[in-house]
Amino acid sequence: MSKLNSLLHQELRLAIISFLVGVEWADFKKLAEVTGATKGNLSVQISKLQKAGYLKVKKSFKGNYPLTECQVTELGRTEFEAYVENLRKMLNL
Amino acid sequence: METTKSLQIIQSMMNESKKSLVRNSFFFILWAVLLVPSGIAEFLLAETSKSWMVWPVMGILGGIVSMVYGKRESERVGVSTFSDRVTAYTWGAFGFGLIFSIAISLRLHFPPHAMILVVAGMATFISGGISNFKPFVFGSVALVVGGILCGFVVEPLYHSLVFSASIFIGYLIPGIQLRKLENEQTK
Repeated sequence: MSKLNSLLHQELRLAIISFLVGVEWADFKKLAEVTGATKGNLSVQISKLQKAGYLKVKKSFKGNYPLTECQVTELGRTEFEAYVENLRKMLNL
Repeated sequence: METTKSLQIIQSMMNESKKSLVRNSFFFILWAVLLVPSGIAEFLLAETSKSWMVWPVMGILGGIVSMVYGKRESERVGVSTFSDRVTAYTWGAFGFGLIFSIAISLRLHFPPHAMILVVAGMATFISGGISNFKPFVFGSVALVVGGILCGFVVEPLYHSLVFSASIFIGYLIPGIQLRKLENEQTK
């Protein structure tokens, strides 16, 4: 039986990537809003996904405030699709 | 984590990403509020040589307000979708079509209303299709019909009135309907 990608098989990381595959990009504030995660936890999980090459993160400033924009990469999309496919097989869907 | 929980997260997040968050109704209502009176004003001022002046004044005003609102709205929602990008490109292409229509009309000494209505109708049709919002699809038909009337049936003197009526049906009515829908979605 296929194994699920351990990096994606975590609630918050899966929520982040599932949201980002449906959009072009989203900022940190939006991701916090849709996932309901705390800023600290969200930041840690985004970093993990970025290090794995699943996310592209652009940091800039809007006025005096930092602005973090996240976008899913091709690798992230491919891995997410593989995760969904394996999940379907496991659940016999 | 349970596999069924994974599936729930994926479904709920993907549904969340499909929600249209940009309040596009503002643009349609804004341009209708500017253009409907402009058409009437042009008709009422038809005997003066400066009647055309209403258009650049309203165009510049609407352009500035649209740009400022668009930038703020994009910052507010904090997300950009594929349909947002298609919509932006569609209306960008419309902007070029609008300028070209005015330029060619000046060269041919024919009022630009017919071509503007048809180009606006096409952009509205695409917007309606992308957002799956039928009132814009019907509105686009009104705009194209207005364009055909101006191009082939109605005397040039009355083109500005046909223009105003078409914008009222094609922009204002669907714009208000979309506004109601957006308000319901954000409740």
